[in-house]
Amino acid sequence: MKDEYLWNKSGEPDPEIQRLESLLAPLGHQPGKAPRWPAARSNRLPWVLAVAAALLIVSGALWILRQRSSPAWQVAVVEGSLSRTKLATGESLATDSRSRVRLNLDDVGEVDVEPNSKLSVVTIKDEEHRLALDRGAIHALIWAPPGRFIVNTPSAQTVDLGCEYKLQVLPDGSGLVQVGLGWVAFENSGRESFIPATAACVTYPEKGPGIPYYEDASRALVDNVHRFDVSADPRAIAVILSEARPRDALTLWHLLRRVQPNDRAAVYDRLAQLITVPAGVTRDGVLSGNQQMVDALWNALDLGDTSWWRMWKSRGPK
Amino acid sequence: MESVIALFVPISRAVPKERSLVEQARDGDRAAFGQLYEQYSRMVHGLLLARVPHSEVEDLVQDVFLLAFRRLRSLRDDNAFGGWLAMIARNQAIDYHRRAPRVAELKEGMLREKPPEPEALEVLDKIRSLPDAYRETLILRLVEGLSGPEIAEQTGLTPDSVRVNLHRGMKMLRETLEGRAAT
Repeated sequence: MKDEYLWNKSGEPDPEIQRLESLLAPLGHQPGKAPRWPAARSNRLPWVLAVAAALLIVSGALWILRQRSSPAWQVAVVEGSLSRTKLATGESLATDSRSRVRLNLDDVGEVDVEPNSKLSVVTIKDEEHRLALDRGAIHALIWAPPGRFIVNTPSAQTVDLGCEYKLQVLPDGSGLVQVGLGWVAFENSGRESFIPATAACVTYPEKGPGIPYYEDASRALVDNVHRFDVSADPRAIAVILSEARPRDALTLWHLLRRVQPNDRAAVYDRLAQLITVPAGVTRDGVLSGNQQMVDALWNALDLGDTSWWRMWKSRGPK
Repeated sequence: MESVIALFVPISRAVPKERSLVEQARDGDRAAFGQLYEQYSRMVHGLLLARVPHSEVEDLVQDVFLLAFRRLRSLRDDNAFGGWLAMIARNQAIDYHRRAPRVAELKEGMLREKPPEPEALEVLDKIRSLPDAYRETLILRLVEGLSGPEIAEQTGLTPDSVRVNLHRGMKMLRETLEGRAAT
């Protein structure tokens, strides 16, 4: 029933409504834009307390300067118990089924470690803060500049390019990242996936990052993305293409780079229906793998420019 | 095939689960407020887009959330957050028109952004010409991509009234667009 489609997007789609949705969607709120935070909450403090806080900050700064020689994540127990209060380079912590801890590092962010997780610190440097999640789950809220907070997993590394995400690692080494705010890049052996806010991506042992998808995409699309990730089954491609909404151009852009050459044209053609192909980008150029044109297609998704990512990579994180 | 995603479990910020996001945000938890932003930003964007120029909306969305963050202590019923936020958005739109400059100002980044399709702006104008209740729900449905039940949940309106507004508004919009096509 077409009325149902207007009400809850179920039932037989109404072509006129679908056309209006496609036409008007670019005017809507674009994902990935984080809230602009107020500078401080100090208006709730009486001025006397503010002065006292300032004195504490000065003395705290002096204390931090003394601690600089051995930087470490501060560990606070949220639930359960854990004897450790700091986590320095080379050290690990493991939570049991009842424990949950919060790591905090000035100028970097907070990382909540869920029960049954094992996490270690690989690097603490100004230019790179790297953790390794062997199993379990974390929830990261990062305020360090993009590209400086990295988490290794058995099947990929996550690079924080924004501010908030969840990461899980299963015992078999596969992982799932779900991005709340900002951006995350999943990378392994040159294979990369860019995951914006409200999107997710699975990473697989020996295969690396899969194709990202918005979590509000249809179940059929999500299932077939996973099916393609696991088996490269070409039958999954047809379902993904037919289920894709304009917003799912994110998924198609990644798919374009993963399919076999003989499937690339179908993916490009569907992508070109969903987005405005930028001037200078040609079908033949994209199909032949012209990187500049593929990047230009990405920029047409209105999810940010690829140049910052390339620029960051060129700095050569270790 | 069993869904791969079923193997993973939902995880959330490590806070007691019984505390609502609003409550956490009121205590200064920015991650919780970030989640509220994520949940409600399309609704706020849509309500503003129903009233102010497209180029001004993103900035005003930020203003609405900033104001909400600062005033969160005045919200007595956490369950009414959506309706309360919608009211702030509508008031911000009214304030915008009170203080709007007569001459459009060129904003940083404006020239770098891809301009909207002329036809999209034309259809948006047609929607904006509809009565308030219809234009809000139609913009939330057609532009922001919210479903009817989501519109009801986020704005605090009853599902029945959203459903009626959607259908009546869509009928009026079709008539308006057909009029355009006929000319």
